[in-house]
Amino acid sequence: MNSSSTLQVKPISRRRMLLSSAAALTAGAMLRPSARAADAPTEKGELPSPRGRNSVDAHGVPYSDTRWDRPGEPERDYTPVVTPNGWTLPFTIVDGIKVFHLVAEEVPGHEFAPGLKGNCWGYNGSVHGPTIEAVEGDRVRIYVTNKLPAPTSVHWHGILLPNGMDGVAGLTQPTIKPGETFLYEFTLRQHGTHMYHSHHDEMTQMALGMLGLFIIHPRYPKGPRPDRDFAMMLSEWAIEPGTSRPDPNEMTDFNVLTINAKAFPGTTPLVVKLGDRTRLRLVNLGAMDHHPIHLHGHDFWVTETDGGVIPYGAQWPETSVLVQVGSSRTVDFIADNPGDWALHCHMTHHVMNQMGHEFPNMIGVDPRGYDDKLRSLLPGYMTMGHDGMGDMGTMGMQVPENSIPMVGGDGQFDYITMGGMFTILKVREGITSYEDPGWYKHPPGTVAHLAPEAALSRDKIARDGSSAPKPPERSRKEAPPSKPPTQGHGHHMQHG
Amino acid sequence: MISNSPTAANRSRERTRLACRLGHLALGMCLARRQTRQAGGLCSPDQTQPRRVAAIRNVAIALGVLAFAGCATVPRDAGFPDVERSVAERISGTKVSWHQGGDADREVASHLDQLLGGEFTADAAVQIALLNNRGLQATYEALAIAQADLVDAGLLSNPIFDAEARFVRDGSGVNLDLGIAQSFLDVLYLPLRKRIAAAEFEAAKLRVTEEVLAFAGETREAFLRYQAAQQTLEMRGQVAMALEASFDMARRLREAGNITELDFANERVAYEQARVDLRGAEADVIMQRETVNTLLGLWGERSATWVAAARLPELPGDEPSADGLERRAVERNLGLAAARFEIERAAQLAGVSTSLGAFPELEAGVAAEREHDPDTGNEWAIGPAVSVPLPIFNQGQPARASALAELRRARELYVARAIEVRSRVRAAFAKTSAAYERVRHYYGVLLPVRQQVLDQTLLQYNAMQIGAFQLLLAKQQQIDAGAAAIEALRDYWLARAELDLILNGHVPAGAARVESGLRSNDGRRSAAKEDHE
Repeated sequence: MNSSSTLQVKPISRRRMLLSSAAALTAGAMLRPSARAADAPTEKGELPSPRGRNSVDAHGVPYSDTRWDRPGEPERDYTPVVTPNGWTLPFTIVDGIKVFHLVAEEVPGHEFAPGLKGNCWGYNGSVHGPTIEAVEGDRVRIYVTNKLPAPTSVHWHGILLPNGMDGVAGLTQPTIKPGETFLYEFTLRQHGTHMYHSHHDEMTQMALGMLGLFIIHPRYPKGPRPDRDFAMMLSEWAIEPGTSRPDPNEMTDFNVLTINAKAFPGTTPLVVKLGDRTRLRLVNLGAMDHHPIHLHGHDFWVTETDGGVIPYGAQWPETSVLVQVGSSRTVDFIADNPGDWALHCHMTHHVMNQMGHEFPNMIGVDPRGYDDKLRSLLPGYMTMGHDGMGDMGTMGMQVPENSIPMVGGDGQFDYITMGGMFTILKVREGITSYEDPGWYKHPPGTVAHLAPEAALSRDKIARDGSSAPKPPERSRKEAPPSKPPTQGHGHHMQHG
Repeated sequence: MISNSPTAANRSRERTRLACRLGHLALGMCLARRQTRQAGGLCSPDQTQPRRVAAIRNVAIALGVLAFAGCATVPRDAGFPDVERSVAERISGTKVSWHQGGDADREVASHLDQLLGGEFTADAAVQIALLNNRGLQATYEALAIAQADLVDAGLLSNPIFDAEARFVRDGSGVNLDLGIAQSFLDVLYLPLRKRIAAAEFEAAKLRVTEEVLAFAGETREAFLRYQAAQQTLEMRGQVAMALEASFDMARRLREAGNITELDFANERVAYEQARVDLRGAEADVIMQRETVNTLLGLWGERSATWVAAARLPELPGDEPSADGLERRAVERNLGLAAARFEIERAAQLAGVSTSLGAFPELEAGVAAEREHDPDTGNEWAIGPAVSVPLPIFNQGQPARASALAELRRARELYVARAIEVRSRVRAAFAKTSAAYERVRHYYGVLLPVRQQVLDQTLLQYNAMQIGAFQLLLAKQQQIDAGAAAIEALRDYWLARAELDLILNGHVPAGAARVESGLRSNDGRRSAAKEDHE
């Protein structure tokens, strides 16, 4: 906990400083205490907030301070983020305050992917809500109008602000009743990748889509700005094939996994120029699942969480970053490898669209002679799943309305059997716009292909696999029986 | 079946009381005279000639009388055409046949062959049964019995001749007492008797018609049940197929190592149960078919080869109208019509017993006596004779009271029966309407929704949300719903058949609460039945 002495001393000095140098705010960067100093334990051995001391910002200003910096402007003060499949909420500036207006409302017919629409709840007619973007030091005034049939509230997740602005219905404010408009106003004392979401009947309202991104750019960025800055909200839904309303009651069996409320093939690709300094901001506000997001063809640095910038020396390289529920991860990398690179959650069930988890295990079942026999009773019957699910997307089976069971999308070479939390990073050389450039044109000889005869004979490879190495003899003897034992455990133990 | 014997017994008793016929009385007197003369002739040969002439004349008269008596034969058709017409009108287009040998029978036989040749419906089954059932032929004989009774009622009771001979002790001669007597009231009440017998005959025709109707109803019911059983069997077969498919899939899954022995065994249990159910349905079809065979009078090869239409008829577009339902049922009811004749008969009987009360029997005749006198020879005396019971102890009040009670009983039963007919027709109509709605709901709503369930299940299966087992379960449930719909359709046709039967004049037994008969032993029978129940 804070000691009262730090609270008394530090803010006063900071206020004086601000007052004296109000005209020259850019100089603030130099006056800012270094991250290292902030990281250092206090004299009493207490651990400070990662951003500085508790209840004060990195500059020593308390979060309740109502004074603010000049409103940050896009391009001049920050490179705006790209929210694939989403949009950024415009604002007006009134007396130096950025004014936003969110409308909580029902959003019927949100398209998760071609063929699947949902009756969701969201903000300003979209699911999820538009991205709110601001700059550290900005004062924001956010009106929230409730056009839902239920009360609501908005919590500014990860943002350090006066308690009464935190948006937890019942705890820090009354609920916003249907038809009411509330006003939130606070000064942004930090930068980072944050979120906003309903904090009333969270289970229902968040399951129906009431969330959005809240990006705060640094007033004084360290190092160069990213060339491409993508913000992505990960979430999960339970939408039974043939229905259109996400089921908030579901706890485990989620079947639509989305990036910015889109499931592949509904996700638009991330397009970058070769050599672009690329930032991915990954936020997880799903109900129950964490997502290890994996990028192909690159490695990246995990540089920020929603708690702030990871100190340089503590940042670590990865190709998958685990984004837990209710947190954000920012990764940075140079897109130095041209191509069409998969970017997806590595939980395999999270790259399935509307997978039926009650379907019996059909792998290895011999379907010969079965279908013909059964069709007299059930015309249109076909045994499925005995060799996997890979064909499901292309079989053209008639399925329930408004459903995309196990559908993937077309790729350059064949059908991509992934759906859900999957998108493509397209790294191109010499592009002049970030419009979708189409499929990557591979340099000759750089695509996996059917092994030619000459190569097979040169390398003494049998096409039927018989020349391949086999496991050592010993381990094969230890292979488990293909059939379950007929005798009970106890019996084995007696004789074993 | 109608039991005629008690009626016959009653009638013969009545006839004894009433018997009288003038013509026979005259004949009786002639015979008495002839006998007297013949007897006299034995001792006076000189009188032979005129006596012979008289004898010839008397023989001629006797032959004439015999010829007249010979005219009173019982017609063989016995009102059957009336029954035939009535049945054809009540069960439209249906023929009945009373096998009496000859071309008509051959025609019937070829018609039967034609009907049995193809797939036939309930209407055709009824027709076959009406033409071919032997029990029905037995029923028609009741007509002949009633007809015979009618003829019988038109005949005078025979005169009674009595003779007494007494031998004189010395052996010289014989004293004779001869008499002939005829019940006198017979003559007066003959028209009345004929009216009663005619009423009885009409009632018999109505009862036979009703019997035919009841039999046709029974046949229709049995046939509909057979058809339904056939369709149910088909459904059970499909259920067994669905469960076999489930079992087959389970076997394949088990072979692939994907399900437990427990799951596999559970699938097998369901399949084996379905096979047992299938056998049950097969047995049911056989039993129902045998019932139909009995009613259709089929045996041997014919009983095995006939083919019923595979499907029960669809629900008709129109329901029978409720207008004048009760009036129609009462008007057309054959039992009530027969009961009206029975009331008439009872009324006639009551009238007779009232007027006959004191003198139920009155006999008149001639008595002749030959007295042997050794001196004067045989002396004949002849004169009229009358016998009258003296109403000292019994002036006929019990008989009169009984007859009046019978009449009142007949009237009360008639009203009770009419009330029952009204109730039964209302009930049958309500049952038919309810069954109609049920069938309409099955075919118009439930089965289409079941189909929708199956279609959607298939889509969910296609979407791999559910497995083949659930899909097959949905199919099985659809078949079960189909079987239930067939039962509902069968119940509709059964209810409709009952309603039609009631509107055509017969209230089938089963729920009958009022016994129709006037006879006391009917009452005993119903009491016994109630005890049993």
